[in-house]
Amino acid sequence: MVRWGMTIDLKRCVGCNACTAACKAKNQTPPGVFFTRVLIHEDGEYPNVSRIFIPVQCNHCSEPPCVRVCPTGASEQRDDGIVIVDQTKCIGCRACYVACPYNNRFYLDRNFIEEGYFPDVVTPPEKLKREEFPGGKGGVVAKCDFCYDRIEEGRDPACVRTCPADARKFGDLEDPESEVQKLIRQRHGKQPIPEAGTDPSIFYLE
Amino acid sequence: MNMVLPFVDERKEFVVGFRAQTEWKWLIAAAFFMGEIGAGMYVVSALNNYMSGALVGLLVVLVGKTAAHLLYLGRPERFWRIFAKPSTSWISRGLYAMVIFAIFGALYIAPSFDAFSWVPIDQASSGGQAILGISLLAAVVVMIYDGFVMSYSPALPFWNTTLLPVLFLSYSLLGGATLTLVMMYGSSFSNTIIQIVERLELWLIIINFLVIAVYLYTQYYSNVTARKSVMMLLKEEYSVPFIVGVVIIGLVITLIMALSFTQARLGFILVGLAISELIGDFLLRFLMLRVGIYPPVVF
Repeated sequence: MVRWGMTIDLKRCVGCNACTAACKAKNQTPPGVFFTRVLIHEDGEYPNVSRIFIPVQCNHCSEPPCVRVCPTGASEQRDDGIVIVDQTKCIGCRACYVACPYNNRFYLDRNFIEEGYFPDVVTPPEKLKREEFPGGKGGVVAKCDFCYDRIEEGRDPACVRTCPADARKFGDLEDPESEVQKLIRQRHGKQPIPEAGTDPSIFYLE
Repeated sequence: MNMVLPFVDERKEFVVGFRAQTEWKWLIAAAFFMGEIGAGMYVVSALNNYMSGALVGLLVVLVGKTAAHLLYLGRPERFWRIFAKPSTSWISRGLYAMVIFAIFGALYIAPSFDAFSWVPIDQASSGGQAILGISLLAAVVVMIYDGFVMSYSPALPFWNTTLLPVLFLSYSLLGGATLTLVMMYGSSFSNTIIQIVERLELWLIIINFLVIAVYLYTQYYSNVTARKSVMMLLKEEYSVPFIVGVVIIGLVITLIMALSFTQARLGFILVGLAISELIGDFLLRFLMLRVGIYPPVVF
């Protein structure tokens, strides 16, 4: 059985946010909603200061607390490990949002359809994507779905494909010969907030 | 990596740090508050055979809690879907408990009111007592399930403890006892029963004080994120509402008022007691939601 996962090489990430932009372009999310984003951490004191970029997104945990707490079954885990939200079932209680240890879920307001990046106008790509949106007029939770539509077509997720530093790798965690598994073994990949016991499918390489 | 991390209250800031839970705020606090004190009032009133109090408790849960939850939902018209997953979701389990509470609570108290005297249930019979037992059990679940909703996920370490349902249970009973006492006094109820509720009130104030102290102590020593939440309550941005509102008004003044009421049965003391207790009761729930902090992603 496939379990899709990702590695993110923190030494390669330059904090350009190309992944953020690619995700925005693919999902046409409204302002303030970022299915992936790059966090910055500044460490040390002048003159010995370092800056670390940590890209974050839904970790598609194998023990996802968001799925457990969802009262309607809208948050569900596919057989390939991808955690998705069925917005036709979501009631907007935001229990999953609160239960995500990584704070990587977003609530789409009921008026999000009229909310574009430019004042008083919704651009054609935004309009097109929102017309296709299964949650209708909003009032539901949304998040990264690992671009499963692209995966089913044999392509990598948009953030992986676009990364200019090649910091992100995508593959099958169950396959010991996959590139992601080899990287995790060789570089001692670390899962975020392991104490939460959620077994994320994203591993960070230092 | 340096563990001196900032507190990030604004989601849009792309920096590593402790992040506040910002989705569940006053409306959820109001729903928890009404559900818990309503169920507490039902339990205290029904056990003292005070049916008017039990009716008000039932209505507070069914009208107040339900309205607050529906106002909060993004898609309230789909609320029926909450019945779908009692196997893993405490929200779903809570809704089942509320339905059972509504049905059995209403059945038990109905014959006490003239308009429903035709309901063929004898409260003193074994059948009536079984209905009471089921309604009390469901009321207890209504009192504690909010605590389980919050503590179930490891996301917010300050909530992720079994002490949270215990804290909510003791606060529910205190709120319920307070409102029952006010209603009993207003309806010139039997003095002996009022004394029992008075004593219960005094004990519950002391128990609540102890439970809060143990909660904060254990969470302070559990991990860095939970400690940050404790510090927010005791020394940082929420210290004034917590120390003044929850501890001084909600417990100390309530205790003084409760002791005064045992000496002199004066209406204004009881009103003061009820106001101070309810302020502390609501603020506790609101502040518990506000100091929910996510741990930072660090390597």
